[in-house]
Amino acid sequence: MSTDTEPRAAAARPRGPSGEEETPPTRRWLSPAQAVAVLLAALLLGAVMNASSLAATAERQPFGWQRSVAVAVVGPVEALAEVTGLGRVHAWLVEGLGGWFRPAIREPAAPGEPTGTQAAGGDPAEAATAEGEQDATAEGEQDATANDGATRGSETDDAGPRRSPTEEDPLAVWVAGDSLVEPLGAALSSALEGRLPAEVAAEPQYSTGLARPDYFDWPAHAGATVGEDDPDLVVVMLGGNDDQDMRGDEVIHRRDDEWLEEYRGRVDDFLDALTAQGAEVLWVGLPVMQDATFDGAMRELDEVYAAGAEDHPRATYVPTRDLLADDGGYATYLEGADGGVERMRRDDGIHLTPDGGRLLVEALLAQAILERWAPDG
Amino acid sequence: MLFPTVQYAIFFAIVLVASWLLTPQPVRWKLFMLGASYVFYAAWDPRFLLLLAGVTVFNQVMALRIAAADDDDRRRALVRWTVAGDLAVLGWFKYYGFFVASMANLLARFGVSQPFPLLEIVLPVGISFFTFQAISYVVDIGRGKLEPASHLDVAVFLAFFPQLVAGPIVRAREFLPQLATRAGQVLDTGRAFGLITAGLFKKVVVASFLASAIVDEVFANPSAYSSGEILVAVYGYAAQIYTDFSGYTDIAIGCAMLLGFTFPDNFNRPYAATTLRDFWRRWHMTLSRWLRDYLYIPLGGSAHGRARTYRNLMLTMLLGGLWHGAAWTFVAWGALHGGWLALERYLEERRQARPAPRRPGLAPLEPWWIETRRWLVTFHVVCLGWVFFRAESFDVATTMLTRLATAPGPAPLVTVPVLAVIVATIAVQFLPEGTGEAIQAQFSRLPLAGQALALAGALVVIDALGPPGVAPFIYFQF
Repeated sequence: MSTDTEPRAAAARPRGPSGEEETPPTRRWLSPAQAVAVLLAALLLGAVMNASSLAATAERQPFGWQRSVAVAVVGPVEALAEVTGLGRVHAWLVEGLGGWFRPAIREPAAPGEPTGTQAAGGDPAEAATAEGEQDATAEGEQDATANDGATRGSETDDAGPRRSPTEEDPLAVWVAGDSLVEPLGAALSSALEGRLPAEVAAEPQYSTGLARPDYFDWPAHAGATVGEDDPDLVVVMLGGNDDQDMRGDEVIHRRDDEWLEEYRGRVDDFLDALTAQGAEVLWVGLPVMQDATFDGAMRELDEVYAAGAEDHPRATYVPTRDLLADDGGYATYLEGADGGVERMRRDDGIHLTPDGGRLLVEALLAQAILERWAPDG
Repeated sequence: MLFPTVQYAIFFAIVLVASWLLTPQPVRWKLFMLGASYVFYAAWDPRFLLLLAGVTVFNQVMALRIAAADDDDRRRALVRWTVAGDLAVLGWFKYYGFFVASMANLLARFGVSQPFPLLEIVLPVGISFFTFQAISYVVDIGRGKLEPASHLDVAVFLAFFPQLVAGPIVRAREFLPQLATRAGQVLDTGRAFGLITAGLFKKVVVASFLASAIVDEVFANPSAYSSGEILVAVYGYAAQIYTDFSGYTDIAIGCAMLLGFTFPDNFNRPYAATTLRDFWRRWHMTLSRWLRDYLYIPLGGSAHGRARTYRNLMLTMLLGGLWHGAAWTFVAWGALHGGWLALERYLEERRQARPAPRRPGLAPLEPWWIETRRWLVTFHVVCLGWVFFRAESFDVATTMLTRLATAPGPAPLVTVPVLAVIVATIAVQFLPEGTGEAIQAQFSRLPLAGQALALAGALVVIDALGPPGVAPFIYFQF
């Protein structure tokens, strides 16, 4: 902080002819009308030139009237960009300069899909909404049978004997999911250190889920990754972005009865893709959310995951609602893995902090993994 | 509603047009701006509006009572109660959980269970900013530097959407007079558009790139990365937090300017600083001067001897650290800054006490290597602070620092683009003062169509280089 000196003379800028001070000679000032005209013209022209990425942003919105309006408005803009050729600058920049920046950017794109069209730097709002801040859904007061105690689900009877991981051939773990999975990778690798030779690869794909394969196709991505890396175990946690309408042949509204059915089908497909090469899956359930409406929606999804994992021969569901809660209610602070009271959740009331991730791993996941792959150690 | 979104672009375009159409009718304009600002704020969570309105009413009621108080003691007491009330609101929403958890952990060492329940409190966006602005209003009235403004004016001041959620922290006595002088203005659009495009570029392109290319991954799990990656991640975070935060406030200042308001600067090439004290005159300047005027000087400043000065520096920075977030890592960050500021002061005093040979009447000329060494030291102290600022726990921070020296190995995350972006971000701060202004002046002399074309071109570049989603902004919930 600047201590005893005068503040920089920052506030006293010239205020134009109406003010006391003079306009600096070097800069030309505009009347409000001119300023508005420049801004509006720039925004309109910019919209046409960025039409492809605006269209991608509109497409990614949750299904609903806002999305319909956005798509309808963007359509003609895109056509205009096409006709005038104004859209080419953007495409050219993405091809030319974008390559320099983009490889390092985690870009959620379905395998095989061109990524250039997703350059929607303009609208992170969807990231926020996609994190599950959308409006109410059916607040199903469902039986919370999915949340009783420790891991459960069909044991891997037909999985054959598990191998014993060694330093040379460690247990390959793939941690996959949406942003919720972010703290789990680090927590898992440090929890297994010294207890089991393991290599943990974490892949949080932000703003993704199973509801919008048009945006990110998890089953396809899982198939490709499993085929390439052949993990022994996949730890999955997602769902925060899935409280929205889906599109099959037509739009399936979140509150429709067939939504849960369709969603269950997607969970099954995802599990099939994950286990296609013989991997086992630990499906981590969703914790209690701070917002009651959102929590109701997440609980419904959680039921689907529990049922899906239970019916799948190579998957096990790990409930977290009891662990990451205080008397069943949402808890920001809880007693952590080391016994101290730690902050477990972020300010958004959704995500886990690293301490939350550690608690989840220490209390549930590490144990489940050690039981399977290091029964003696 | 975040600034770099399509939503905000539409919102701002509508508000800007309506604002200038309504300017001839001040009361209508104020009502409109209040409504627009509340819409902006409610886009996060409508429940927070009640809090914002409540803080506004409370401070205005108290401001009127302070102004009406007939003796100094009573006035001072009223100011104290008002500030205490504002801090209580801030403390409740922001620090209650932190306080109770820390207390429980402390008491647990003595085998005592903690007496307070852990409650679930949602942290309202921007609360740290608007409570500080409210405090500036009542304290300045208490000091006789400001008369109470009308209810509507105060409501507009505290809610004004450009600075509402992430600053700059504008003082009441800077803002309120401008409400009366809006009509008939011409606008410094060269500067406004320059700030907005530079801000968007810094935030959308540079900050998001660094976050996703290296910083987030390394800070999430430092034990998986080598010394080289950790070092570059720390430098990367230094560049990221600067581009992110200064970018956001640049956009705020630019938008306010288009609406006819002059805001104070918030950043002035901070990484060119050669002392930490200098750094704080360049970094988040509106917070620095707030802390100086409403905390450091009331504590006694540097007017009561060396020991009290050091104490005051330390207290100010510790509380400043806590202001950034309710966690001990922020306290550590504040302690480092407070301690280093005190040390710098001590060394400077000692140096000046030495009868060094000086050319009379001239500032002593420092050889370039001394300046360079000072710069290096200052920059690295700041970077060391950022490790604690960014780390989500002391574990992460200490792992980072230990592995800096103990984890040789390949560094695949350290790529040419990452290094180039970091170096460029820091190098730009050494451009001669006025470079930005010269570019803004060039721009402002273009014909209007040329200006629109240039801005549209900038939007295309920013969108094409930016990521598909924007990394979360660092400063919202502070």
